[in-house]
Amino acid sequence: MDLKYKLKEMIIEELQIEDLTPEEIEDDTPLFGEGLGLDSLDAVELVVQLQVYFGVEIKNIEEGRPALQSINTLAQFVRARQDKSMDKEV
Amino acid sequence: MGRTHAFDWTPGGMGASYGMDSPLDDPANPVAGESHAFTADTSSLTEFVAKGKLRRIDHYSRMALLACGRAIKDVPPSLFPRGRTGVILATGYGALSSTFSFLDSYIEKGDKLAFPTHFSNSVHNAAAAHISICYNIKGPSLTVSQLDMSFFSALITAGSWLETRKTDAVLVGTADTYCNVMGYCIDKFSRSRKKTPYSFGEGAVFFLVSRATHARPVYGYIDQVTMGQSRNREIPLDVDIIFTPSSTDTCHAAPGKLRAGHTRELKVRRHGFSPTDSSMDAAYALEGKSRTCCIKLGQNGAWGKLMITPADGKNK
Repeated sequence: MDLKYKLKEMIIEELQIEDLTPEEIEDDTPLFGEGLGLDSLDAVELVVQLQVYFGVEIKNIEEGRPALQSINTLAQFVRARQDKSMDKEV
Repeated sequence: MGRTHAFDWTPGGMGASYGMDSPLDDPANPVAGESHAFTADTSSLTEFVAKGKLRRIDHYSRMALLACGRAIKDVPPSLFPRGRTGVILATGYGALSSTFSFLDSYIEKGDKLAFPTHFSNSVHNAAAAHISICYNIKGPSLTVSQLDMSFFSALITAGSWLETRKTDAVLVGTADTYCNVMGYCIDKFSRSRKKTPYSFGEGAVFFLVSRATHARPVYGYIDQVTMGQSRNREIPLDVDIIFTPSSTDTCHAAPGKLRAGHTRELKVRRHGFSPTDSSMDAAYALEGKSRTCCIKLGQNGAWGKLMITPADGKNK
């Protein structure tokens, strides 16, 4: 399954967004504020769920702010972290 | 002996979201050794609170919000001054499901990956805070937890807020929820379960109470709230009695032996037990016709007693 689709499913499921389907979330929609309307508690929940679902950790706000902008930035972050950890294993 | 608090205040509105509609089994014919649970349906809460605001609110808080919404809807706006209304929520166990879900995530995944949303809902005062925020209530917001005596403790506090004019009205009520862990514990550890059929209940009941200043109360009066710890419960002979055993299995006392000489009607509720189910009895008594004493037993000899005079009873 496409990583971006998985991220959308995770957000809908874990943040209990009942009114949206993954297909209805645009890849570049802002996650916070005007976009999906997520807030600070959602951000904490997202950080936890990213680690549970994908094994990637957002360690601080410097990493989190650019990663949590949209589905595109989130997918980019997850992919980069997963590539990095594969390189380490090799 | 018990400590009695006599008040002159009256419930203007009542609302409940109690688990009476969807029993897992037939409550009228429980089988010894088997547990039963009544779960509450909160789907109609969107009548009072926008769906978007409910996203992270758990079932426990939703039950409380629904009961409050119904109580507020039940009164004219003049009896509900939002700026001078307080909120008191009584609960025996709090949001059990959220608490166990948080603890499970903590144990299984470690402290770094414990779920924040479950934590926020597991905080005991979360439901009272949701009530104040969703219904724009500006007065003090309090949660009290004293197991089976929680509702009585909350009523005494509500009475003192009204008497000292800290608030002009208080939205006081209860919420307790059923969860599988509780069912498991009762089944596993209850000493009397094999002898006594046990039905769980969950739900919330709220009353909007104010000082008894208007000519005729909507429902009636809560005349006395008494809590005690001895065998002498000072049960009056000339009133109906609603008797409620403890939510645990330690004191399923025979209601027929409450007091010799009592000749009026003695009722034992048929809906499921919870630590704060006496609020349901109070609602039932307020809708009745005659003066009623609601008695709730707790652990280690504790008991609570309410004297309720419904509007019809007072005017007789």
